[in-house]
Amino acid sequence: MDDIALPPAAAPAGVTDAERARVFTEWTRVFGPALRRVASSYARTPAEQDDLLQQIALALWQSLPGFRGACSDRTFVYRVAHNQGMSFATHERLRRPPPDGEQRIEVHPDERPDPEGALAAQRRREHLFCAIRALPLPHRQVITLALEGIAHDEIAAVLGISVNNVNVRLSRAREALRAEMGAHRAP
Amino acid sequence: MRHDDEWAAWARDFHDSGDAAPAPAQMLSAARRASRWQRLGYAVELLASVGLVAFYVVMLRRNRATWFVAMASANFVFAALWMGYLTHVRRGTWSAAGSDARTFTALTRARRAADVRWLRFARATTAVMLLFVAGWAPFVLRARWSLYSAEPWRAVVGFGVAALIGVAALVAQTRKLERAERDLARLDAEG
Repeated sequence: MDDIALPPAAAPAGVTDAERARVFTEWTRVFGPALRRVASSYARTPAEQDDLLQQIALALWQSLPGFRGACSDRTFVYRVAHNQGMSFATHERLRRPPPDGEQRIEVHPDERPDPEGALAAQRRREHLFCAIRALPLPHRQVITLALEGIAHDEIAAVLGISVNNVNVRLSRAREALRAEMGAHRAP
Repeated sequence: MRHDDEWAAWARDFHDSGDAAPAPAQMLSAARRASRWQRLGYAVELLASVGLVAFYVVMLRRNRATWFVAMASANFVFAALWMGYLTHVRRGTWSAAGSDARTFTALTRARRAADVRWLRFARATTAVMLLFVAGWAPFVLRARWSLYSAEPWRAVVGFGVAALIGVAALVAQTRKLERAERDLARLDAEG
């Protein structure tokens, strides 16, 4: 995935609104699906996921002028997204129990020719995200970044830990996810 | 299932779920709107603080009675103490030393801990004020009842509304404190 850098001439403090909007739009175009997955990893209901996505968008918008290119765009966007997710997950005001006591993710109409296969895939995805959300935050962060396909050194940069620590944490997170997947077996 | 196959299956399911991201233009307008509302909120808070100080300054210029000067001075001292303590408990929590998740988690924990300390102080202060007003109001009402002879209900309604606001503030602070304590406990448990 290519990085989208601010033009070298644009000092952070001097970024025009149009340039800021251009970079923001490009970031959300490139990273939008990943941001949606981050939101699904921290928030349970579709409404909460939309709330969190909006918070992430606001945080990205506000932090964009401070981005000095010290890390890649992707690292920066994931840092902001996971920081907002962590804040969301630990702030009780923002967490409401799901109405029927179950954990749900948004169900999107699937128009593939095999409806039974599509339903099974939907259930698997729902099951996976339920298990991810049940993990402790440090495990959840590392597992979502690894599932996203991010290299371990970049995960270390996003989380502010060493690569060795990423390896250890990821190994434990995979075990924990496997246990969660077994504990909440899909119907 | 082998671990690599299992991981590949998880990654595939994980990636298949992110196809419903909102349109970038929609996210941009939502972010701009939220940013404007946030700035408006800060402006209103600032305006309210400046307005309160201006109110007392204007009143002090009009009314030089000893009791009023004493009351206004006490209010200023109280506001200074309140702001001073708020600044004290919030030191080191204004911004993160870095932008990575570990630093942000530490900052979030420090902020919640500061919230808890601050809310305990604020609740205790409100309780003391309520006790003081409850003890003091009947004497004031009795002593100055003649001044309200035209419309005596005003004094009763005024005191009643003030009492209601005080009790509501106490309840709100208690609930907020309980939430902040639970947030802090959750953060500690999550590691």
